[in-house]
Amino acid sequence: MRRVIVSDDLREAQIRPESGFNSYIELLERDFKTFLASADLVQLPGCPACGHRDYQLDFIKMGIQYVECLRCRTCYASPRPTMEDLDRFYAQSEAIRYWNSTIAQNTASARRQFIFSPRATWVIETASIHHQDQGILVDFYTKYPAYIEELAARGSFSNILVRKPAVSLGEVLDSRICTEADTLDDASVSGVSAFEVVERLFNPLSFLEHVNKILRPGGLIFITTLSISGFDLRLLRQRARNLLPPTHLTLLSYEGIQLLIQRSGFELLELSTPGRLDVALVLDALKRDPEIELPPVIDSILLRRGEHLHDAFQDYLQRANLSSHVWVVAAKMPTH
Amino acid sequence: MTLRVGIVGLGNMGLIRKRVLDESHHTQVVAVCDPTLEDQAGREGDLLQTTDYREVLEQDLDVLVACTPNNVTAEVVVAALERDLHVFCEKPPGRDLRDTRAILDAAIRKPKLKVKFGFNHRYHESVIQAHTLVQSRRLGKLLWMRGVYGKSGGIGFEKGWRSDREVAGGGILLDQGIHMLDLFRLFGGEFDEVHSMVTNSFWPIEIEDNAFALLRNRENVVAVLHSSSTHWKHTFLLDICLAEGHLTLEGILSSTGSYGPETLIVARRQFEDEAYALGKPRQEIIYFDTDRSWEREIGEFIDCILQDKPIEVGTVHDAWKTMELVYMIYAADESWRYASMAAEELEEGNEPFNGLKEAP
Repeated sequence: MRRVIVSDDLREAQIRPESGFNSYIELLERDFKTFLASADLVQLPGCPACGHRDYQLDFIKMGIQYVECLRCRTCYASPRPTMEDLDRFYAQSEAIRYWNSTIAQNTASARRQFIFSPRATWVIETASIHHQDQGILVDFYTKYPAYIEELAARGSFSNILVRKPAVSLGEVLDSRICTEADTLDDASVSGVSAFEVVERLFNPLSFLEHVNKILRPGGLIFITTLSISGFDLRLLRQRARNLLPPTHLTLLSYEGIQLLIQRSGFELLELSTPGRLDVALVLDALKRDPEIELPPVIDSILLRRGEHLHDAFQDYLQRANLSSHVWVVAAKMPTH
Repeated sequence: MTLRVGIVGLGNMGLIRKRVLDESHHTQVVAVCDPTLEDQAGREGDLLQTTDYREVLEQDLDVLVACTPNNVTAEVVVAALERDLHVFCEKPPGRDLRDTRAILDAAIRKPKLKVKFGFNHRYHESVIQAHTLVQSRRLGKLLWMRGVYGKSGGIGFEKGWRSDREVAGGGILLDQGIHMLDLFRLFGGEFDEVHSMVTNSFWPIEIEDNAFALLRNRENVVAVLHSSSTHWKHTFLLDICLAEGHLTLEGILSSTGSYGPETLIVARRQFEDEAYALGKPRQEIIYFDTDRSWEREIGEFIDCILQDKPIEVGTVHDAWKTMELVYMIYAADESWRYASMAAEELEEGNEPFNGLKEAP
């Protein structure tokens, strides 16, 4: 198995500018409160990652209860809205519209440079190493037209399809860079990308099983998600500003990711945490809430030994798979 | 079908090869030979243990694996080929070009047999992924390479067989640097211009403890090598510079872990203007946690035998060209005391092997 660590100049403000993000959170809280009043919430029978039934209460955020699996430590919302209700929420939410029309637009250049272009490179180069770069690639719940453009510009894959796009793809679809797929045949696809998808689904396991079905043997799935095992979420839990229902219903643990991948018939090829913002997010949370208590050694590293340690510590978090931003590559096992 | 295998030489490499062969569903190790087996000589179940390699060859075998000291490699491999056995031969292919030529002569006489040499580094994940990137041309054309492969000799280093000229034939370049030369050839093809300085500056041995080489191929790709047994911290480092980025292979997984974790650093060229310095150009470091190189290498050899496919990596051609490069480096330093002998070897060796690419 491989893991990747990344270094660059990315700063949080470049992709989530302060004022815009505050407005988004306000809108989301309002939308979600209204949504919850009419939504049916369903208790999950077990952990969405490993299936284990035992859990303990972790925290409550925006009216949603998050519990921690006692086996794999995945943190998940239960009870949670059904998939149909979630679809309705995403279609109607003003906050989501604001994100797509304002924040995403205002940060488009930085997002392309630091997020979408590297992701396209990651997908294509990994697919090339595993001889899966010539077939069809499907992007699920597409939210990022720039990623699709970057992918197409590199000239790999015979065909790029989008499935259930979460935003209007406008020119990207019009100019035939990609095609929207209503159905997908079994064993027809070489690669699937699902960026920031698993955490918002009602049932991640059934999604991965579906992906497994449409992939050819040896075909790859590329996932990015937020992990509760990451430094900032582990310390901040419900106080993490970037942890927001319903876009984060399942926060897989490091162990939970491995179990989920295994249960859905994949072989894990890469589990990386190439996040660059954990330290910055914790420092930001401390500024907003000085009452947050840090373990003494973390207190020393973040607050008392100088800023030069911050980058080094963030590098260490990546190296030890302790950042909350996760990249996963898994291959469909031939026998599944 | 199960291939019956004999192994000659059960040092570190022999034991690694035996473990992999024992784990394979397609092979059965039926005979082993090593001087250390004197007390255990005889049959233990289905396994013959002996100190005489000829006894191994007398068994009903399909494959012979040679993990011997360099001075007996040619003798063992040639004898195995004469008995119509497929051969896997640990690197280097003998002490010198004469040994390699003897092996190749025998291999050419038996074109139906598979002969593979253990240039194992090509099967490491970092090398495979770097090679895929270079081959894809997504990072542009290859400009230059810089390889450092060094180890610390350690206590008693000067007394081991690897330090004995009669047994080993050459020093650190032949023993370890040959892997880096093999990787230079993998990425950059054949190098025909060679400059070098070969020294013996620390260890009281007759062979080199450091070799510095500057190589150039016909496409003007330059490669710099430093091979050392006075590198007090074990080091494996290969920089590959391409027009649109660079790759660094740092560390290589080994049984002791002494060459550090295995990593591949990938960075892309991000600026054109000399006056514009980026704060922190993006780079990715890929860590590889498991070493499957031994299984891949032997698996491929077994597959070639069972499917009757040509050997593509570690061929007789690879063995000759890489060994030739070692001796070109020796010969290029006129002050190196064995340079004249190396030059003679090159002179003798080249002629009969014209057209070697057509060999098995």
